[in-house]
Amino acid sequence: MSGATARSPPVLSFKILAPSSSHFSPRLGIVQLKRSSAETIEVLTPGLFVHTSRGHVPHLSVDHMNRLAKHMPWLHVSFEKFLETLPPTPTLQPGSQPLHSFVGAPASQHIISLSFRDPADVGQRPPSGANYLSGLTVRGVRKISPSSYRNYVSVVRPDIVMALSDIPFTSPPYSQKRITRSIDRSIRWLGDLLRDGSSSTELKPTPVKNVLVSLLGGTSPIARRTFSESLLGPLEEGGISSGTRQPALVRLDDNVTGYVLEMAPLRMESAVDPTDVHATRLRTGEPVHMISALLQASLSALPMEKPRLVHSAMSPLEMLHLIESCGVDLFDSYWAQTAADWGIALDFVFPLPMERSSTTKQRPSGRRDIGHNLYEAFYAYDFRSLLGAGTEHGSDTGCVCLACSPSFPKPIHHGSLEQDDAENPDETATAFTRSYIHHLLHTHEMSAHALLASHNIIVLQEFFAGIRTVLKDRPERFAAEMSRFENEYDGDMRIMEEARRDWGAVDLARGKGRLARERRAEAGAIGTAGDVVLYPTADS
Amino acid sequence: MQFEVIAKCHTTRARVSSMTMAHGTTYLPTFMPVATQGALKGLTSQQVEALGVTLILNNTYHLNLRPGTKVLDAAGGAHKFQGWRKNLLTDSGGFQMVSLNSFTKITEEGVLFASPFTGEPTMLTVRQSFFILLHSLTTGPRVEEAMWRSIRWLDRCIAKHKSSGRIDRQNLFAIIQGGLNPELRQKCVDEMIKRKPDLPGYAIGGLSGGEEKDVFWKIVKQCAEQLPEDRPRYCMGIGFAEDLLVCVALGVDMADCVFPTRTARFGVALTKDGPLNLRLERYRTAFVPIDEKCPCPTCTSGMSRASLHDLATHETVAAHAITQHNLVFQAAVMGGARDAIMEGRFPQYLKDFFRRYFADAAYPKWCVDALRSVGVDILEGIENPRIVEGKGAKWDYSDKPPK
Repeated sequence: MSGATARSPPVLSFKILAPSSSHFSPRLGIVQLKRSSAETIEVLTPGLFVHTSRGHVPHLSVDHMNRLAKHMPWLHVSFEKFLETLPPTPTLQPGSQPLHSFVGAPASQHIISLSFRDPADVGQRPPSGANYLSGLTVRGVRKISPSSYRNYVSVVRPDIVMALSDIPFTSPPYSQKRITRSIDRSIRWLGDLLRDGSSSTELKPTPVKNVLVSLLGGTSPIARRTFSESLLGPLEEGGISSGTRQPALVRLDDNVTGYVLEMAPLRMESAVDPTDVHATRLRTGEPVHMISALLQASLSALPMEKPRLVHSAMSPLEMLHLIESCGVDLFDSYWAQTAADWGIALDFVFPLPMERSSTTKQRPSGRRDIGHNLYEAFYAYDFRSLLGAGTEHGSDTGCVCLACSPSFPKPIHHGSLEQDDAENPDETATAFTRSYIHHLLHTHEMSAHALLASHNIIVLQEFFAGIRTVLKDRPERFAAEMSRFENEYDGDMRIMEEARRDWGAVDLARGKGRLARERRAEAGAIGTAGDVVLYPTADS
Repeated sequence: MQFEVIAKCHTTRARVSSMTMAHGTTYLPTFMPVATQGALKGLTSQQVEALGVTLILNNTYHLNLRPGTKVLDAAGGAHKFQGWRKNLLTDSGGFQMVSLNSFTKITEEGVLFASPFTGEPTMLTVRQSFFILLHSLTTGPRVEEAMWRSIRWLDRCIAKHKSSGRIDRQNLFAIIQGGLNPELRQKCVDEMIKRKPDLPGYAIGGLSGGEEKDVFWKIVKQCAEQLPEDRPRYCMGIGFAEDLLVCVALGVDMADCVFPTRTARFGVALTKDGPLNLRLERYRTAFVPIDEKCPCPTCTSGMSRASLHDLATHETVAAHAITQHNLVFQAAVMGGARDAIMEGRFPQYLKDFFRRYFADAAYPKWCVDALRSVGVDILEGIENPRIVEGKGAKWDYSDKPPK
């Protein structure tokens, strides 16, 4: 149907603003997405894109997203959960930007990138086949072929697409054969995605543009180099399909927009105990050097002007290292959002100010936590804002998030009386306190996570703004600032494990399935509540 | 507290009034969302205010356990603690004491119970609570005993309240008890009315515990009829739209319930056509908002039923979205009732509401009877109306063919 409105796909561009001195040195850049009709959405780099679940930033309702939209211009959506039903619901959404509409993210405000898998999820899944991948849904595993992925993508129209890749999710280590197959399949699938629709079908799918590719090869530098070199191979299979085309051979890489490093599978592959998902998720520190080396192995053969994205970095220090040693441009916010899930309010800055102002917990090593585990008892009486400012009306909390800078929008009127005496009340509200959020966490109230999710994403955005400032004004200071940061903050991120434990304890006591657990406990021992002196009820 | 009746329905006992307290004016009749532990589930205080809500409810029982009065005092009070700047009502949580604790000792001093968190014996005394009640849902001599004790508690409470010097900032409502027995209710009403000078308002308690709807509305009517005209009347634990409107017609000004927020978390959106259970398959491809005319943030954003179907019970954002919608729905039902009362068309408002809400189901008989008792026949002009005994609450069943 050529009549389908000639909507050209959005144009994604990446510009390096400050030329970097080497292939791997830190760089300043800008990502721009121009839509045919409307304005341009910009993301400055090094910068952030936001992790979502079922297309939504967890815990942030539409009105909150609306308020915070300019702090989250780029959302990353994973598709597999939509395979719960077939055809996947977003593919039925009417409109010119189905995915944007379905997840409620206005196309004028947000860039949406789409991957098949949730890049943070490294749970075991059945192996892929030569022509299919396994997707995890709440109703079990669903197989998907590269061609149906391509169809879904062309229907839901994300702005950026991550090509399918065959990353093994069975227990490591992986055989040479498995690694070779993983690379071969992924390269083949990438080619299928980048080439124009197969000529056999009448309905020629719109060419998929703005494709990112995940750099594969696992923990083997040789395999990673092999994969990257394959990207430089010809786009057309065997290069014979249509001899009349341009004489210059088009390479796969020519149609690739950027490169992605998925850290979660690498972390799993190199973990001591890959089945301990939480431990693997959290492992930071030492492996970052290994990961830098692996990323360098991938990038060395590839052109340097394309954006480099990293999924699932688990600490600010990891992010700094990857910027410093590999020139990474964009990171997802997954760990900061996970921290919010576990009750942590981030409180760290880059570059470190001359005078220390941080009030986070100090570890025996002398290093501070990167945030506050608000489950801890002493926050019950801490009436400061999340970053430690006073919460008197009008005081500057230094953060624009929902918790630190709440504001009262105009209320809806439900009757003529309210309309009549509608005054214009003060819109500024006093900041929420650590004490209040501590209370919400212990009472298992969801509001805690809305406040923390917005706070942590904003703190992370500020962190990147700080990185950009250093790279712009004093690039030669970057490494020094990084080691100051490293000396100040606990790179082992012990706070994450501690908060997860506290979160788990409250969840067990107050969360889903509580009643069943209590009944079970009660059946075992009468007098659950600690066997204090209890009085019988009056009668009955 | 200033309480002023602004308009009265010419037929029913419904009225519109304004209740002005330290944190602003709330127009009645109104529905009060419940923020049990200092937060309306999943929302921030700013979001709640944005929905047009000017009065919410906290639960003393819960806040006493967590964060505890020491923290609340140190924070500068419950308002400051939760960042809420409109009116706030705290309930003693008598219902929770009974329902959440297997061992509770009730004394003249208050209620002693084991803290479910620490096991420590915890005393909820009359000093801390500003609503004293005991939801006694049984019958027999124990109810009368409980009622008289509640009255004695009330007296202690009044004395304490007077000596606290906060009369200008805090208002003590008494709660009518007496179980389901009309005679006991009468005794209680009489005793409470005697104390009128010390009581800015009255609550009708001890209901909504699963009693017969016929018993329920008769007791509400009995209490509402006799309570003083110049005091707000608050019916506790009422949240279904049909219950709210019947109560309003019987003369009730305020009601609270966790229903609209709780049901939201399970994916049920309230509309004028009845509840929509968005988890049902039939909403999977419904790319329309819950209600196109609804002013709530969810509906105005265009968020579709299909999208909510995908998210409900999986992501907290679905709970937030539907909670916001449901609270706006409740507020709109009550706001619409206020305007109808003032414009002298409340009986028609009732008829229209019931016709639309129960159009594809059946009219609950108790609603018909209750409204007839105040002079409105919602079946008037309806040919062969379907009527159902029992609760008759509407539910979105999965076997209903799609519209």
